Amino acid sequence: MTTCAEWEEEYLESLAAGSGPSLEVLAHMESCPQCHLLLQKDRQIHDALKEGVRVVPPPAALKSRVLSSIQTSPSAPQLHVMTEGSSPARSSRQLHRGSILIARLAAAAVILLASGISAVNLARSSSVTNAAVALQLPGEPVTYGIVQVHPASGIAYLANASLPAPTPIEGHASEYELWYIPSGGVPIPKGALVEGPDGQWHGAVRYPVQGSGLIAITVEPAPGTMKPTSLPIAAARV
Amino acid sequence: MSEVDVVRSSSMADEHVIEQAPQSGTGELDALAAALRDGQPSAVEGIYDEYGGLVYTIALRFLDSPERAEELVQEVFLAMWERRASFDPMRGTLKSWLCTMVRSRALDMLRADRRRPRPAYSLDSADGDRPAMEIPDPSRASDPAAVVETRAVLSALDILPDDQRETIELMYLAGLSHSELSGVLGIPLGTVKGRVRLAFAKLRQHLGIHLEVES
Repeated sequence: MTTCAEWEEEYLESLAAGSGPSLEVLAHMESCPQCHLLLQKDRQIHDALKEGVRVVPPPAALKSRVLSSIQTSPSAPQLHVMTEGSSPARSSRQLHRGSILIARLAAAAVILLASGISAVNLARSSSVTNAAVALQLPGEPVTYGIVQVHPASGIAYLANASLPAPTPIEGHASEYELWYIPSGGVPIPKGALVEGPDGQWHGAVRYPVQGSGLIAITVEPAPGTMKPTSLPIAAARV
Repeated sequence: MSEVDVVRSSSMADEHVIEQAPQSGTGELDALAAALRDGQPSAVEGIYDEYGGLVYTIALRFLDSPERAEELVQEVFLAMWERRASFDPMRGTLKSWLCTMVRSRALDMLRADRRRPRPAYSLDSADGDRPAMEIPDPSRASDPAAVVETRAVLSALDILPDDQRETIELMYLAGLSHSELSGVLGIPLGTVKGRVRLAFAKLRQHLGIHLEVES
């Protein structure tokens, strides 16, 4: 190092690293009249920046959405789906009933949308939007969650869904399963809602940015099904 | 069909500044990085706990929109997961990798909508009702003089050119070394050193009277 500028750069780097200046750097800056003036001022500015430049905590719900998006990522190794007949929890009668319900699922979701009470339509929004969505379990009072849709990314998040633990189906564990139903297409399983530490349920659905369709939630035998076996408890158009 | 009114989630504007969480030990971060590379989803939660705030803050700094910053955070962590096999700890830390991703994607978003970057640290918030950064209140501090100094320095950041301000902010926000900054910003190490030195010179010049009085 030959110039005072280079000595100062070394000094500033040592401050940022928290290691303190080397003896060589300190020796120069203490003995050089020009650099000596900078020692204290640079230190003061450094201390103020270290104290003042801080991380802004993200909203608490963001973590659930991030984790849900990972869970439903195409590359996730633990997708909550299975092939027909691979579940010991499902009888052939259930499978038959499930195939019949495929068509009924979309129709029921549309009916939910048409009711205007228990569903939400976000299809006309072009920016990120949040909407309340009603959740209607059979025989239970209506509860609500938040649907956040990112049209540019093709991601819809369900957050803070106030739901009870899913009721077992014929003695077997069940779960809340998400579906994307492209217009004119068959339901595509999109993983399960996960329960957050606050007891609320969260999930994410990726859908084609250029496409249109419905997002729906059904109660299915764990660890999920490839085809719906029950009617939706909520739906949203994206 | 009666559509449900779109409501804004109050959590979106729930913005506070807190003490930076203590950093996990290097061994723990190495374990998280290894678990990520192994494809263990549980690693993502640990990484988010460690760096979620940092990624969000950088996104907010660029985009000046909590909603867009949240969207970007989700994209970055999803990209981290989907590209986990490409992470090479020999080439840099997980923190640097995340900083690079969020910065790169934020710039892409800004280019896409042709908006000029706005500093999240600006004292004059964009919408007038949301300070982008909490400015310490001297009247409630144990060391009012130090708080006054911190306020003055944070205010002075706005006078820096964009490249110098970004370098300084990333350096102190993420605690990145000059070498790491070189990688994240995609500029030579010497340029990083020069930017930091020039930024300090400008801050000294701007704060000269104040610091003389304090000293």
